[in-house]
Amino acid sequence: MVLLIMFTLFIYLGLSLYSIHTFGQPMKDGYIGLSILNDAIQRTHASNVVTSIVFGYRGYDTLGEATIFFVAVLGFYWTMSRMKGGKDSDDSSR
Amino acid sequence: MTIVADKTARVLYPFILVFGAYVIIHGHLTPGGGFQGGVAIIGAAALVYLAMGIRAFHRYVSLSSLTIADSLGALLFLLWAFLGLVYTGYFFGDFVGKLWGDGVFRSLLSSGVIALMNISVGIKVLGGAGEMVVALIKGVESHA
Repeated sequence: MVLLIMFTLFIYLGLSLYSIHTFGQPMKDGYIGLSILNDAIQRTHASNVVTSIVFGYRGYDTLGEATIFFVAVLGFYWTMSRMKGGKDSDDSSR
Repeated sequence: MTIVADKTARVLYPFILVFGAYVIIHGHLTPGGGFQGGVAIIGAAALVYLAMGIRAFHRYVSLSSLTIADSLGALLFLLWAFLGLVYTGYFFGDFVGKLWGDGVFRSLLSSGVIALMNISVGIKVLGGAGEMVVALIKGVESHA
């Protein structure tokens, strides 16, 4: 059953490749990138368009990114503080 | 470390700190931003540890101050977002531009809330990357 679902999904995703636009060509419809490029400076007054996208147009994305970074630091610190080992350490405290 | 690395790091690390602060503060004007500047500042702290040792590192950096920076940056970021919700009606709305105007293009006080978010993300990344460096240093020192 799972294999059947996976196979169907594979076929559908493969068929969707036919409707993708040509590589390296700008999209004919849905030109959100072009509208950002044309309007970003007038709308945000930031001369760095990348920053205006990251913090202005895609603020939610940056919020999620900051959350992911926070959790990653927590996990890294936890892992490093639990990590024992090497030649001269005892395993009794694990 | 050797005396060459020690003296070179002593000369270099203030310049790296200033460069990191510049990248954070001018994030809405020039290439770079909060993430890159925060990591550059923590790079200077890691240089201090590698060249001058653990004692010099802990004279400037402590885990509690880094934790405060991390949490403060995240809370400031959310505060700007909620102030946008209060004053403009949109989460992450540009309340600075609505209340005080957008400022002169290409000057430091421009682009409204984007500059504030940039600086708070810089503080946050500084704290988070610094906590990672402190964890790594703890691991290295416990095996030394």
